[in-house]
Amino acid sequence: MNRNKVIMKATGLCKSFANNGGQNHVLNMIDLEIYDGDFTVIMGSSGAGKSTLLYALSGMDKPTGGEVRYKDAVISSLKEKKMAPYRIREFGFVFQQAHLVSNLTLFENVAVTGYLDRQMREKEVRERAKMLLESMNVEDAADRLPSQVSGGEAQRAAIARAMMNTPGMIFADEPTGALNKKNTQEVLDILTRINENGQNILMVTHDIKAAIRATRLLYLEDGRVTGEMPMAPYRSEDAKSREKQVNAWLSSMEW
Amino acid sequence: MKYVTLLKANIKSQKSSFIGILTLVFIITISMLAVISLWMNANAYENEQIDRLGYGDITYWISEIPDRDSLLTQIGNMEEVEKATAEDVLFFDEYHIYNSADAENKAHSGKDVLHMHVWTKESGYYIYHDNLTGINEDAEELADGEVYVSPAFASLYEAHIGDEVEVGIEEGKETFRYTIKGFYEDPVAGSALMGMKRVLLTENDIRRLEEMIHAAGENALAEVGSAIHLYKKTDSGVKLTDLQEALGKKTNLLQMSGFSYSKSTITGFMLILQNIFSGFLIVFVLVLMIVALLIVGHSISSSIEQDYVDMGILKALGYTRTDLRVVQSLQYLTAVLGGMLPGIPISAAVVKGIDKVTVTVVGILIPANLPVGASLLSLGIIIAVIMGFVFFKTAKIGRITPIRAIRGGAEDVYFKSRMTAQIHKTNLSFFLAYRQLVSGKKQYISACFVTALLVFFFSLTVRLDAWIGPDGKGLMDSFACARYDLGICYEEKDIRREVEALLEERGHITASYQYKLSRGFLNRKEYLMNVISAPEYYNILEGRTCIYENELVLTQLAADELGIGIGDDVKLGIGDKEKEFIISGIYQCTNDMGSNFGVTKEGYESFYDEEIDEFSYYMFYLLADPSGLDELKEALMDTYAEQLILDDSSWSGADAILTVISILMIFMFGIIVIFILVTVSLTGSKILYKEQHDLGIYKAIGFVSGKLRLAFALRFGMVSAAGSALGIVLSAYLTDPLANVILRVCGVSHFSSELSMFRMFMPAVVVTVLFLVFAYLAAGRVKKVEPGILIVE
Repeated sequence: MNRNKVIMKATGLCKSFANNGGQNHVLNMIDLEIYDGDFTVIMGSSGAGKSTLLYALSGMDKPTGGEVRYKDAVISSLKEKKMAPYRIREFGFVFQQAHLVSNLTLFENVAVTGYLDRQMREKEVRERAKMLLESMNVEDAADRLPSQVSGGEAQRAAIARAMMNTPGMIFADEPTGALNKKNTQEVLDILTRINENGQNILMVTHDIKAAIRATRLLYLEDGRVTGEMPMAPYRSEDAKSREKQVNAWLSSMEW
Repeated sequence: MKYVTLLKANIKSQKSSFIGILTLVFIITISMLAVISLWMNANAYENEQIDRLGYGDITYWISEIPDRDSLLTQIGNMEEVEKATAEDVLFFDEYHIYNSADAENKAHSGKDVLHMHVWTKESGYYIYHDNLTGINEDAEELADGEVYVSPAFASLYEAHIGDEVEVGIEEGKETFRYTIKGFYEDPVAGSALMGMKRVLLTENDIRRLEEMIHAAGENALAEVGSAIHLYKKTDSGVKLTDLQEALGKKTNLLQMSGFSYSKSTITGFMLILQNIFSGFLIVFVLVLMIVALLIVGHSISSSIEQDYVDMGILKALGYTRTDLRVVQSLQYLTAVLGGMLPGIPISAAVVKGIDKVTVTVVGILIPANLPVGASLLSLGIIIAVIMGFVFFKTAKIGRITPIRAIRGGAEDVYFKSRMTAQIHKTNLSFFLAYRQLVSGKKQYISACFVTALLVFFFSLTVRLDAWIGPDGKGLMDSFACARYDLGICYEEKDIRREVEALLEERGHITASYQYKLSRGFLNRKEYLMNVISAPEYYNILEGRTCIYENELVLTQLAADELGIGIGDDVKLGIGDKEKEFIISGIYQCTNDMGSNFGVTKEGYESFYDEEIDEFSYYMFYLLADPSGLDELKEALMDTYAEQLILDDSSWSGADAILTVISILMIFMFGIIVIFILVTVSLTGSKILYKEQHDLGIYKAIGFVSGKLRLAFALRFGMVSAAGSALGIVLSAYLTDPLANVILRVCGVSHFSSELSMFRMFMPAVVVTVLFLVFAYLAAGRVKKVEPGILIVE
């Protein structure tokens, strides 16, 4: 199978937590490659370490062993100051909760990320933030505070924020976990659309409806990647068949 | 038990609040008990010592009483008088102190009169240990040629044991030196702020000097006299002014040359410094108390928000609103008691320290023991006020319901503020800080008011410092009845001509006038009297200066004492004559603690039939350039030491009071720093705890700790800047009246400070910068907040 170039690579990735005097190995010597252009989805049973893997790859959390390379640079051992440019320009995050700064409006939440990027002028930041909010269909709520909008609107603003500096990779941790059906659909459509436009996405989910949007599925169990399934780019008319396909794959993984 | 478990858990989880409040109460306790001890002990001790030494309700210092015994009998027979006693005193107008450690053995000139008394072990005077730490019960007898002096000699003349006090009996004749054997406690004139000083000698020495003074006759530079102590009957309700009037009618006491002080005047003089010190400490304690309440209020509100869910759960488990309020109250009570208990013994040590530092200024060693009743009462009031406030603030616990708590508690919901400003790329930290500030204004209100109060208090001390001036000039000006740079008492005309030519050459004389300090009776009450030939130089506060011969000006204190005001008639008595005068104005002169008045030269001379000797007046000069005054004085003394007396408007107590004010300012500043630290760490820790989620988000999108810390510190900078502005406004309107109240005890009836821009804004800048720095340091924990806080597994 033809693969794009590797954009992110984990080697011997470990994450352990102290537990009653012992060690709980959540990630256990994971070797993993993430390819450019993919919409990679990590699935696994509850407690398998999906979110831990996502945060260890994104530099949000420090691994206890192994290394993570992003575009050939080791990022897993970077200190806060060295990591900051990656967070500003290379990585975007979408969490299960929107996690917007509570006293900034949706527009400001998006723009503030742009203000951190030295390469963009304020005018450009404002225009891009406006455009992104429009593309997420939340322009009407742009001047509202997070507490004044719905969960769906907040999550769409969070995606806009993640895209603000045109990052190399968007990390999404159960981005539809706290949303209702309608909002879930809208958020997944947005993620699919931006991936089609070339945006790399690494998403953790346990929702099959979200998983079918992937171009590559990974299965995590007991801190190891135990399965992988490439998929064709998502088309809405194929949704049912993709669901069956993913279900079958998950069954084979004993999900 | 149900309370104990929760109490322990609360203290553990809110350790920083606990320690902060404990610290505040600790400081308040020390300050409060120190002020109570200083105030009460000083007054009680001073009165006790005056009584013990046999000083009556009024003491008259009189020289050469022709028949002292019959005068005493005359006074003793008055119906208002319990008894009258007499003590031998030698009066010297001039004396010098020779420092033995000084290689040149240079003399310090005595700044006012010197009284010599006999010392025996039975005389009752306490002798201090050589290091001035306490009373030496086994003080040695004085030998002839030795002298005990008050500790004020140390601060005024840098005198040490072994130094010498020199007096002369006749001009140009032999002088006599007495070696300082030690220091004694002088509750009558021991304060360095009093001009008159007293020393103790052996009976032999006193008698020898007495004989020599008598032998010198009219040429004597000293006088043999008495201190007449007059006791009014304890059951007699007679006022001292009425008693003095009666004395004037029934005896010839008031016609004799001398002066008198009532017991309360002596006490007032002696305790000027303690009273100023105590006054400032009282204001300080009040400010600290308000600050502490603000901080406690903020701490309670934040704790309730922080523990909202826990409280809801506890309610679901069966804890009542009262139970939870009791736990909260116990928590604060523990902190209050935790601060109070160590504060009690330490306050005694602080008072002891203050005593030690100030003994050479105040002249007495004030007991450091705490007045039990008053201390307990004041501590009880502090507990009651804080706990009452805690009880009031914890009322909102009643509004917590289990269901509301479990559904999300008291999470912040921000609403748009009208004060919101758009966020910009440039100065992003500033704009974010401002946004955070206006979004959670309530959280910063306490910090804002704390700043305002601290700036206000700081300004009060700065204004006082400015008023006193760098070399005490301002203070001295307020003591003087009129402005002058140099005063000279000449002995002959030619010298005056020569000296004035020198003054003109070196400093350029802009004005000159004659001045005399004397005493007179207003409505039969004795006051210090200023006489000047150019009354336009009196420091007039109200009305106008005395222009005509039958007009006088007096201080507000004297006016209040006599119950008279501008336009009223008053009987002025000088010598054996009495005339009606009109009060033309109120003036400022702090001499004799503000109990004085001023007349024109013509008015004063109208009491005398013969011409007054021109050379009995001082000539006061105002110079265009007084910068070279010190050199000028030195030059004058080198050439004319024997022919003139200099008065440069310096005041014996200026150095002492400057030292005390410096100590006071350092102490206040230290406390202000601690309070800012506590305020920031308490408020800051709560805010940081509340905002850690947002901090996590900021970090996730690429903010580094430094930027977030800066934004956090800027918030406090903005709050303290706003508070400081309020503090400056408060100080502009309130410091002068407040300082007036405090300084009234030392006779300053009109305190008016003029500040340079630097001094006006300095407290605000210092406080703001301290807030900024402490907030930046307190925000160090931002480094520990990881974006991982956002992770939900």
